[in-house]
Amino acid sequence: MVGFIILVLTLCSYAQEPIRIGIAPHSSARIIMETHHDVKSFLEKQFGRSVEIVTAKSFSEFSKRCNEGKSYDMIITSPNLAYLAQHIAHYQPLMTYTKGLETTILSRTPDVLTMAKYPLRVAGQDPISFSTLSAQEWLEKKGLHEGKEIVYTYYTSASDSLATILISEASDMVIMSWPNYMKLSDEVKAKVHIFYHSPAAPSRIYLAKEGNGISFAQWEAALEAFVRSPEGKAHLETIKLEGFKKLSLDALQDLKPIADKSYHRLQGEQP
Amino acid sequence: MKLSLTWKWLIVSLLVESMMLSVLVFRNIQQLSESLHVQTHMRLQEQATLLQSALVAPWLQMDYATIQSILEETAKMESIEYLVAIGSQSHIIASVGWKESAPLPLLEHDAFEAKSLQDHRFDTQVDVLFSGQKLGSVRIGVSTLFYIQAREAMLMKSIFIALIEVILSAVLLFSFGRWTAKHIAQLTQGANAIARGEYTKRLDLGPDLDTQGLASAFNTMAQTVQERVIALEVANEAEKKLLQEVSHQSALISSLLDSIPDLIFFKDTKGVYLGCNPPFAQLVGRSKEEIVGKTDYDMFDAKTAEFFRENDAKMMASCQARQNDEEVTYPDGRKVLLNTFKAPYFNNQGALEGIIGISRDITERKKAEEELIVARHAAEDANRVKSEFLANMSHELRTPLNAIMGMGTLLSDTPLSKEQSNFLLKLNHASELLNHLVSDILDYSKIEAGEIQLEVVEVNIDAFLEHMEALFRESATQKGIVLAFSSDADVPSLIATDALRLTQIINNLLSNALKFTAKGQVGLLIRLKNRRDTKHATLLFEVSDTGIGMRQEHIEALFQPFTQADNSTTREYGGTGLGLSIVRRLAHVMGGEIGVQSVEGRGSIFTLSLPVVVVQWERAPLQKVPVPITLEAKEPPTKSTIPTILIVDDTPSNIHTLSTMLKSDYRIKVAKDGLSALKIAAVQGAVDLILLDIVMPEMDGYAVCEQLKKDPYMQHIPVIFVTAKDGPEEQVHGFRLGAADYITKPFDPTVVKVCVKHQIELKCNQEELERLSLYDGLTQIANRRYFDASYDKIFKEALREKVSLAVLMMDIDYFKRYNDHYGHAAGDTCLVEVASALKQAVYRPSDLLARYGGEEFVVVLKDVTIDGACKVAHRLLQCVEELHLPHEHSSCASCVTLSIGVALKNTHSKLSQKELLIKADEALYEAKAEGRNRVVWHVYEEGEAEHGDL
Repeated sequence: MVGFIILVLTLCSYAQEPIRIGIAPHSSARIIMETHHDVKSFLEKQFGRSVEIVTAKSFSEFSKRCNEGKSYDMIITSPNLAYLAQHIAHYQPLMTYTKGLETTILSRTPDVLTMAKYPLRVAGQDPISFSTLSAQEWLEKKGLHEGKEIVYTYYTSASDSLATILISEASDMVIMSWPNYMKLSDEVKAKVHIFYHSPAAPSRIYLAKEGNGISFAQWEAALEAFVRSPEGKAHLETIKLEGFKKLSLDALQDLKPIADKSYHRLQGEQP
Repeated sequence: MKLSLTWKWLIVSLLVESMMLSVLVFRNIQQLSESLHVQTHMRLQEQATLLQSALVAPWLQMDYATIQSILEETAKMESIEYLVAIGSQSHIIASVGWKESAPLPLLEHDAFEAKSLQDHRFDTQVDVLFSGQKLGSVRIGVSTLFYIQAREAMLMKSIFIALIEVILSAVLLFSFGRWTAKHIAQLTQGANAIARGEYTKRLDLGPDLDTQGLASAFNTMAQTVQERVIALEVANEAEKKLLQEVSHQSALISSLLDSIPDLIFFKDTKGVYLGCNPPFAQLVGRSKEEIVGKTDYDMFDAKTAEFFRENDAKMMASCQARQNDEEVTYPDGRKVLLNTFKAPYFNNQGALEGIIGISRDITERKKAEEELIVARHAAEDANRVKSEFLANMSHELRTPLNAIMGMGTLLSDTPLSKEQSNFLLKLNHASELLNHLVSDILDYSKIEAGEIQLEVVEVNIDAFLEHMEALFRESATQKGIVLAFSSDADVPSLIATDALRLTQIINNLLSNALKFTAKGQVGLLIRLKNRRDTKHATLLFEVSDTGIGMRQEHIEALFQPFTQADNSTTREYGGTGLGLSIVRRLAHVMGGEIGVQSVEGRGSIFTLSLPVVVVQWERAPLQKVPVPITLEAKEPPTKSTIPTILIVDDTPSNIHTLSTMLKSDYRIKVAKDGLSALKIAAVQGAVDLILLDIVMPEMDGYAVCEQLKKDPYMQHIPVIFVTAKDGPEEQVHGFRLGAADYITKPFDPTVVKVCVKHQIELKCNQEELERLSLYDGLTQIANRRYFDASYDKIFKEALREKVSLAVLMMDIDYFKRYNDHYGHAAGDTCLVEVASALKQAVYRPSDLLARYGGEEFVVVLKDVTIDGACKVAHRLLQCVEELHLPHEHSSCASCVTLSIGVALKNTHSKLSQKELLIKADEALYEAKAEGRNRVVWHVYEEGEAEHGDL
């Protein structure tokens, strides 16, 4: 009898608590809120509970909260941070977008490597953002090592702010995701040069964990329903990442190197 | 305690002002509160909006430190006492000015006023929302101390101002009240003075504009009152005079009414008597006073009262005066006949007030009238007897005289010795004189007795001239005198007048002219004297001669009865001397005048100026008798060239006389009574004219004429009445029955011959005209009208005789092209020649050939087989071909040809006249369709048809 009362009270308390979805701060809080409004409204309808969309000031802050595993019931984040959330906080990957993430390095002129002074000043949004890490990896492959040929500076700001930094010659190159580049105004685009445009890498990952009254299977069912729903289609049109793709539990295994790098940065190289 | 007006005014005004000021102060405080309330809300709203904007991003990022710092910055603003940020799960995530451990104050959204006044703080909460997602809420506490302080300050100021205003008002109102009361007292004094009759009282209320106006108005009123009083006094005087006058007039009218012997009364619209005069009171048997207020039902028996009431109602309904005779009984039982005139009378507004009645006793007058009517009837009877006597006398005198004259005329045609001839001449002369004398005396006696009755009929001027010329032509020719009869162009063609009397006058004048003219000319000229309007004119009939003429002194006595120009004239020329006297009296009766101009030895001009009614002004040209047409095909029945005259008379001597006069020119048939005459006339074509005596036993001439004119086979025969009765009544009656003319006994051979000849000519002309209307003017064969009438007759004959009937419908081939190329003149020639050829081909008299219309012809053959009909058709084709009329534009031959459609109806066929024609026409169109210049035939048996083409 007591157990039943506890169960009822628990369910009642779950019913009153909102479902919280954490989204990596790949853009401003307002844009994140707007672009994921369809996800929020669909899940509210699906679970009959209120859903809160939250983010964090930075990737590092976000990753830290994810890895603690208490702040969010479901997270949508970059692949490297998703790997960490899966293995540290036991979130399980559910699905991703079919269109992969592409990274770009912008310069003012094509001959930045010959004309600029060394070490080259390169600006990025966050040391553990997927774009920053993949661009840095490419630059290293090109022989441009951090601390020698390149000095990195990280800005917690929007992509157009990074472009302004480049144009104002406060930096020689800037790293940003391809979707963020596409959002730049034509005027700004005309003043910058695409130095590097990466091939598509894995996209943002939906992860969830059991708790707050929702089982993993319910999460799976809810997202499958979202994919087929008008809200899902509207979300894709807004975010322009083509479609959804279901992920297996081991789908993120290939990301271990970049995840490790991210983890190390989180541990010791916090900006 | 009684208060003066000033104090009442002052108290009431202060009360009203105090109430108004209280309301004003209360309203101001309320408006201030509302304004501050609204401002506080707006301020809070602005702060909340700012806070929301600032808090969204850190809230989404769960950056609680930033949220805390934003709250701290915001709390520095004036009047904010505390700020608390509350998460979505109602936990405080940041706060300023509020202990986190303390419970948050309750929110009373609608209790702003009461709560705030008590705690000097207003608590509210706003949600932090983004894209529909509630991130949390912020509790804000605002101090309302400034609001309460402002309201209290406002209240104090308002009360102070109101008090000052009340005091000032009291002083001013008191002063004004005193001033007003003073002027009211002056006005009261002035009004009292006027009431006492001091109309000259005037006021002076000082120099102020308002009081001056008041005084002026009062003075004007006083002036008006003074004038009205004077006018009223004058009016009273006038009214007194008027009343005296009315009284005088009333007495006069009353005396007048009383003195009138007629009965006079007046009632209202409900029939209640309002007054009457003594004769009426006498009739009713009551006094005048008793009658007033009574109705007819109170004074007369129910029937009489109802009669009066109905008359009154009718008069009032129509609002028009009425007059009727009423028989009423006096109280003493005396019955009188009253002629009552009733008329409506109206008030000043024109509304009906009642009726006025004036009754006159017409008992004696009515009696006299009835006696007069009896006397008139007696006189009329006597007059009728006299007229009948005169008529009978006329008949009785003329019948033997007619025999004498007739026998004399006949005797002159027998071989006589010279002495016998001389005796006979004197006998004839004496009998003629006697005849004229009898006629003139009878006429004169009728005129003297005033028995001349005018019978107005239409008179054709040209026909009248022609008739008169015909009457005198022979006499003139015998004497070698030229007749010149004519009328001016502006004389109307048709007038309405008494034709008999006009003829009698002109006849007399012309007779005289011929009598007194030995050589030269006698003329009758009709002229237009004047034209009064389109319907009335005066004509001038001038009878001129080149005879012996008269001296002026003889002219004066010319129109005296039994007088001639001089005695020698009577001796030489004979006559009664009554003729011109009769003429002048007749002219007077007709509204005309007789005049004369004469020069002895050179001749005379007698003029009749006669007013007439114009029926038609335009002169139609005289119809010319057309040249008779010779017809070789069937034509109307020919008649004997010598017309036949039927003489109907019961007196053998009359029959003998008339037949002797006419036998040289006409065939004579005789009937001694009406029935025999009708039998003879019924034989078609047996009689061309009937001379009919009026006075016959069993069936008189009028009855015979009536029967003749009713019968369609005899009605065309002209009838000339032969009578010794020469009164206009008899003649007019005869004309109305359809007689063409009349001859009076004793017979004047010339008149008889002229009259008969004229009627025979008219009949011939009419028949010729009728005949001409049945023939086509171009081709000289029967036209469509004649065909329609004859075809109907032939069709019925065929049915009756149970024989066949064939219709041959013909059309000249390509006739339109012929017309178009050779011209219409050639076309007409073609039609004439084709018609002539067709006549050659139709042999039997019973066959009918006619022009059906345009270039179409039709032949009807009775009692014929289809072979016979086709033979005739071929003969028709051949006859036309043999004309060899070139037709270059014909598509079927080089000359003019025919197409013929034949429809033959055998005895048992049910085809109607119209259907047979249609069948023939259809056959014709088949012939045309098959190439023209051919015959197509159809035979119709009972319900079957056989056909072929040739």
